[in-house]
Amino acid sequence: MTDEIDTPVHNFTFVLGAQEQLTEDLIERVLEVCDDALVGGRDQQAIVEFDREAPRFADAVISALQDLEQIPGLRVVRVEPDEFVSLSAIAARLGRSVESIRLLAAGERGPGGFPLPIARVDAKTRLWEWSAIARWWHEHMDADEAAPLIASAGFLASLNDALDLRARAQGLEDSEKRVLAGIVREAALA
Amino acid sequence: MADRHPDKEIREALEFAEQYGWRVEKSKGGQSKNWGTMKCPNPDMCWFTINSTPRNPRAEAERLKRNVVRCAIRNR
Repeated sequence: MTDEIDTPVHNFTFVLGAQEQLTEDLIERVLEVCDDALVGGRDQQAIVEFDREAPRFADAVISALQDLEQIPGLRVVRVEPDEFVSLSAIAARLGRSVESIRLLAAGERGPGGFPLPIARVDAKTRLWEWSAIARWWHEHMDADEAAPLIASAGFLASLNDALDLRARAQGLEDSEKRVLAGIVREAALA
Repeated sequence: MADRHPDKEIREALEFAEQYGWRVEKSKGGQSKNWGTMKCPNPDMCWFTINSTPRNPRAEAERLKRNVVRCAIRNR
């Protein structure tokens, strides 16, 4: 299927650590740099949630990460794809048009049995559980169709490992950091 | 709501949040980007700031409403 699609909008959330760090000044800076993001707190943690346009999910995450981390003192500790997603977010993650996902969800195309939405925001917007969509996609679409899913999951897991490494490395000796740097460099060039 | 957000769709999103028991407060001081904050009624208190001039007001309204519903799903 080769649906023509506009540049998709990708939805994901960065966790910045404890929410106490979100001072008025820092919030102001984030809103200045990212006018496609929400800043707030959830489970006592500072979060920034993006709706970012980019060809691929990974491109959206990378540009948003770079925008945020140019702010002095701001460091991202984790990125999470949001678990509750709209049809357009599903389409963006799968690299498909919104219309093609709408047809799959309505059972007017594809194998049927598309997961039911978990909630309705308003007449136009319903939310689905992403893990249920991903499972259904794996079971019912062929391997090529699942490729974007696997690729973005692999990138996200690696990015979270790298962010985790950066946080942990702060307490290490220089000689230990050099070993880690060597491993990361090898991964980057592989 | 003491003061009105300049964008109609964002005002509607804030009314939507209030129907779910969220509290909307306009920020004090002359901050230019941070219009105010909305806080959920649950004990864990998630909260979001509201951009006074988002790139796409419709998308900002959508984000705010989406998070009201997400919070309700998490707490049910």
